[in-house]
Amino acid sequence: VSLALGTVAEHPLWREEPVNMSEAAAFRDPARVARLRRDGEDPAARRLVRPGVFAPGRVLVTPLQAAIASDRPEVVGVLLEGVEALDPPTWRDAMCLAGTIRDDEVETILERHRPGGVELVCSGYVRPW
Amino acid sequence: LTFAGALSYDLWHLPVQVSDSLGEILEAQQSPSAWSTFTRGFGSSGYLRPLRLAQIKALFDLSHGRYRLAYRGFHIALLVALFILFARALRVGSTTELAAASFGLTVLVGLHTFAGLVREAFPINHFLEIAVACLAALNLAQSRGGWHVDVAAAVLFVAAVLTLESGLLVWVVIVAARISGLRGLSTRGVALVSALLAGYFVLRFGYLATGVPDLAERSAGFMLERLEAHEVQRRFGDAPSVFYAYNVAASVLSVLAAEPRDGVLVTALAWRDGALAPRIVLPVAASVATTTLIFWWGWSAWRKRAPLSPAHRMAVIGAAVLAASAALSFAYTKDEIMAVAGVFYALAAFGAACAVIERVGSSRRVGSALVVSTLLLAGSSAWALRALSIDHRLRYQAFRVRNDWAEVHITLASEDRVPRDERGRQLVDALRTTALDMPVPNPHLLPAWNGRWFDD
Repeated sequence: VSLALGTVAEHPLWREEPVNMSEAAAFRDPARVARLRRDGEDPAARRLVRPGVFAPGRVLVTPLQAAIASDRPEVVGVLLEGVEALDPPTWRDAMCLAGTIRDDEVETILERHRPGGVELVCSGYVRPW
Repeated sequence: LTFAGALSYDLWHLPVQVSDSLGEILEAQQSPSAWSTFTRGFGSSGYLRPLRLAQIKALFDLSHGRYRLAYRGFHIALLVALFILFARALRVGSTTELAAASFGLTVLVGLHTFAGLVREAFPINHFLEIAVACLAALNLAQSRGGWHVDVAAAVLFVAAVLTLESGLLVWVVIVAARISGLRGLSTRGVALVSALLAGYFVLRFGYLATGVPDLAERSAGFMLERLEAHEVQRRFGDAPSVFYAYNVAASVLSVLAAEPRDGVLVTALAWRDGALAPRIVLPVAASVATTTLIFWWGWSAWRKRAPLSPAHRMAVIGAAVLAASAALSFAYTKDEIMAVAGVFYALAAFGAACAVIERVGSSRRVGSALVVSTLLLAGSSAWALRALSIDHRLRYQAFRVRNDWAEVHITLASEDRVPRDERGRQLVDALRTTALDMPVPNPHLLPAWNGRWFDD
C-alpha cells in the first residue's frame, strides 16, 4: 500500500515533515538546514520552534541558537560554513548559550568565528526561553 | 516482487554515501579507464579485489553525470536479482510451498545480516553482488545442465572472487551442491571451477604475494565490547588463535541465534545495562525458534535415512556456506560477511516451514495442530516485525547519509582531503546537491516507540 502511494503521490513513510530552519536545527537535521540556507532563507532570522522542544510552549529562536541549545556541533558547523566571523552581539549570545549547555565542541567551533577584539562577558545573560 | 519493490523504493531514496564511497568515486574520476583500474588492482597488498574498483569506474563512465541513477540503479538491479534468484531456487509448486516461501522471504529480509546488503554501498554493495553470485550458482546447480552452465559457473566464480574474498563462497556453493546431489553442473564443470580456485590461490599467495590483512588493521567486537585495532593487537598479538576461534564461533552464532552482532554480545550488554528492548530480544527469540525448527527438520530427515529432498539439499549447501563464511571471518567478524550465509539460512527456513505446515495439515489431533499453528503465527509475526525493521533502518540511514553530505566540505577540509582539481570539487558539489535535494524523513520526529522496536 505504501509503495503504491509512493508511486502516485507521497510515500507515507518517506514524507518529509515541513519545518523551518530553526526547527531543522533543533531536530538535528543539518542537511535540511544546508538546503534551506542554499535556497536563500536567512540563517540569522528568528523563527518559532514548536512546543515541547525547548520549552512547553513555542519558542522564538535563530537556527544558531536552536543548534546550540540542542547540543549539535555539526549543525552549528553547517550554519557557520563560509562565515568568517560573527557579529559581536550574535557571537556573544551564542557563546553564552553554549556556556549553559557546557559543550566544548560547540564552543571550539564558535571560537573560530570570534569577531576581532571582542571580550566574552556572560554576566546578566538570559536564555531566550 | 512486492518485497523487491518496497525495498527498491527505500534504496532509491537513500543518497550515495560519503564514507567508503566518495573516495572511490573520486578515484574513478581520476582513472583513465576501467581496464587501467582493473590492472592496478592486482598490485595492492592484503586484498586482491581488482574488479571492485573497476566496476565502480565502469559505472562512473556509464553514468554521464547521473551518479545516483548509476550507483543506486545498479544497487536496485542487484536487489531485484537477489529476490528473483531466491524465489526461483525455492521452486514453489504447491500452496504449502507458497506459504512457506512467504515465510522464507520474510526471514531473508528480517535477518539482521540482510541489512548489510542494503544499508551501505561503497558505492556498489559488493556483499550483495556475492550473495547474488551464490544464488546464481545455486540456480545453475539446480538447472538441467549443459556446457554453457559449466562455463557460466566458471565466469561467475572468477567475477566474484576478483571482487571480494567472499567470492570464494561461489565455489563452496558449487561443490556443496554437487555433494548434496544437484547435477546441474557436471563433474567437469566442478573440476574447472576448482582449478580456477587453485589458480586464485597461486596468483594471490604465490605470484602476487598479496597476503592477508593484518590483525591490527581493523577494530573488532569481542564479548561485551568493541576493541580498537591497536587494542586487538595488544590483547591477542601473541595468541591470535583465541581471537580467531572467537570470531569463527561468533559468526556462526550470529546467523543461527542473531547474537553476537559484529562480534559483540548485544543482548547481554543491554541486560547488564538495564536497556533490554523488544528490538534486542525479538531477533534472538525469532532466530533461536527458527534454528530449532531447522534442526528438528534436519534431524527428522536424518533419522528416516530418506533421500534428500530439494529443500534439504539447499539446507546442506547452507550449512557449508555457513561454515565457510565463518572461516572467512576468522580475522574479524562482521555481519556483512555472514550475509550470504543469512540468505541460505532463509532457504533452510523455507524447507523447515514446509515440513511443519505439512505436518500440521496432515495431523488428526486438533489440539496439537492448534498449538503448532499458534506458534507458527507467533514466529512469523516476529519475523515480519524484523522485516519491517529494515525499512526503518534504511530511512535512518538515509537521514544519516544526507547529513554527512551537508557536512562534506567541513569534513574534507578538516581531513585535508579536498580534491586538488576543479573537476573533483565539482563532482563533490554535484553529489552534495543531489543528496540535499532528496526528501528524507527526520527520525527524530518519529514517536519514541520506534526506537524500542526497531534498530537504527
